[in-house]
Amino acid sequence: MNRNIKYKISDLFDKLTVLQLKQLDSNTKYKNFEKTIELIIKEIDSTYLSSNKNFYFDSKIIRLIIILTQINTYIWLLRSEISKTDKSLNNNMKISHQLNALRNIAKNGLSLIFSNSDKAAVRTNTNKEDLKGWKFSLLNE
Amino acid sequence: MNKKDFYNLNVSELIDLISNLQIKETKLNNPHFTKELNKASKDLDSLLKKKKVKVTSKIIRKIIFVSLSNLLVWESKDEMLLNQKEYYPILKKALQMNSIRNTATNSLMDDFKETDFTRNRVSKFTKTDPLWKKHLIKKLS
Repeated sequence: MNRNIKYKISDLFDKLTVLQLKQLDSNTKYKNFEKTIELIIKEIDSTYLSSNKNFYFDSKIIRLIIILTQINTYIWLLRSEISKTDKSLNNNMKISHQLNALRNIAKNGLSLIFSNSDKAAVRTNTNKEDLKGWKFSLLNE
Repeated sequence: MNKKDFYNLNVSELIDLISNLQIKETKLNNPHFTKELNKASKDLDSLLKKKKVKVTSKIIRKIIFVSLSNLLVWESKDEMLLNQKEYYPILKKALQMNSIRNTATNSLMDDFKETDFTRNRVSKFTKTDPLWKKHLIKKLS
């Protein structure tokens, strides 16, 4: 069925990083996660990468993927901590919220490369507020 | 020996290095790692410019796994030291992730047209692998 609204490529990359993390974390449901991962892989390749415009790997694409994966992992670890203990709850919630802004900057970087004409792909929550440390120098360029 | 013959990091080794440098840049917050990241990115671009490898989501998935497993192995080390009772189960999972990551980096050498069995990393860990690990090794090969 043709849909009017589709996932943006940066959202699909983001989902792929999260599902890979969940698959690795679950020793029993890995086959269920694999089914969804394969659907996402098919969607990315058929909708975004098989067009006339060829995209070739460069260091920026690779580093943005590495950063997106690591930010999602940090958020996952913080959420896991939040679910186990109330200790440092406010601090952990705030950091995961601020990291989400950095994640959106990384996703916007990927959108710019793969779908620069699509303004709807741009994430607007990119204010990392007073977040200190957590350096991802590429996101400042 | 020809002046141009030298032994340097290939693309898959640079991806692994950049993923580790990114963890250090974020966690240790030392400008040295930002400089190293920039140097490694330049090397990566000079290799990739010649190779012209098209972006595919299967390769993206392998890069995601390298980035993810490097960070989770780093976190495991901290967790092992904090939780001595769980030292060996955490260490075992870290080494399992490490060997799957080695499968992914070996496979990336094929993807980036730089197959060289002398650079292959050891992907065998225990005598028999659990089913989830066998599954991931198959999917990331």
